Amino acid sequence: MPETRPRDAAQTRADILAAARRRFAAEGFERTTLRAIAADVGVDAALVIRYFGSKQDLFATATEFRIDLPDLSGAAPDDIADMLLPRYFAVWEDDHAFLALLRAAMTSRVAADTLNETLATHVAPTLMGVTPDNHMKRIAVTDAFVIGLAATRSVLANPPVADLTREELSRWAGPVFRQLLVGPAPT
Amino acid sequence: MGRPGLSSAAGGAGADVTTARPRNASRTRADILAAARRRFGAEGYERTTLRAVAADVGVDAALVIRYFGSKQNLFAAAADFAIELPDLSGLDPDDVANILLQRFFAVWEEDETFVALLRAAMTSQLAADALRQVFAQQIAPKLITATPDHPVQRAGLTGAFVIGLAITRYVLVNPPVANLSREELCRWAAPVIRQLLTGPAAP
Repeated sequence: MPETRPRDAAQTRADILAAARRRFAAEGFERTTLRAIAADVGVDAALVIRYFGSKQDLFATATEFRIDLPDLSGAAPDDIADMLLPRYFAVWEDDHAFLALLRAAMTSRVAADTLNETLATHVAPTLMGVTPDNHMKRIAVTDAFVIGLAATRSVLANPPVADLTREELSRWAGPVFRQLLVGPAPT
Repeated sequence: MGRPGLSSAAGGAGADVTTARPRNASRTRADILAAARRRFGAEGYERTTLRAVAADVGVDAALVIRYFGSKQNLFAAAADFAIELPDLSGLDPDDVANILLQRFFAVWEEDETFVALLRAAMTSQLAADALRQVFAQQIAPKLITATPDHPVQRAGLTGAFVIGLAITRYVLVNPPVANLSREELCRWAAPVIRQLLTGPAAP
């Protein structure tokens, strides 16, 4: 455990965040300990606390992800999927913070609430730019579809979906986005 | 890896069982499945042990292995009992969506086993393997009977949508999804299932 080589503070912070994401993703929020994260990196738990504060604070920092959705108001219905999906792919496939949060949210109320809050504050307002009616119902089922694709592709790795190229997936998902967000309300 | 004991699955049940009363093999299998479903539901996939399931029934863990092979196979067998998807071939697309959604509510709301597996599959590679196995062996073959083309992709995407509904409604308890009544959710989800399973193919 004693670290002999000098450590670069920024590198240590990055290592702690990476270890935290792995632990929170695999074990959830409640069962993860700062001591275990520190041991993964080869530092003392006191250092983790000095850098990030409490476990709650570290969790918030490690799972903070950005989703930048474009302004959809005035978009043509057929363009919506093509406008949204590249932004979603960037989050599901390239953002370790999001995947850690999604996994942790499966076993932890704290993490689930964080994810729900992000959907409500960062995703719903953008989608509401195109929904003509039944806003929350349309957004609810759209979010379910997106979370299902992310989970199936990036976490469960179910081959029929994981093996689709981004272009193939966009072609299949396009009509669903169009129906859910701007299609006629089902009767 | 391998599948220890599968070859001796037939016959001889009870010979090395610690229980005193004589056991009927099919009754024992049913008891094991029921105990497995309770354990998976209450404790999750990862923490459930074959030993605990065996103890619930009053048999030896070796018998559970002889009957079911492995924890993954035991899970798949326990899930099989729950899903009971009918043959969908020849049905009207609207009926297919409604049948699937009724089974969805039955499986996810009346049985804790699936929520437990889903939680585990999202955090454990072994449980994810079990879930993929359930999908490939029990769900996809039935969904495929409704597809006009691209069976693998259509079944996979429909499965992804259903997983997304389950995650948001039962695990995240995401308010916009969880607050929908069954009827509202059916109304909005049915066109998605219809499109993914039977709608025009992606160009």
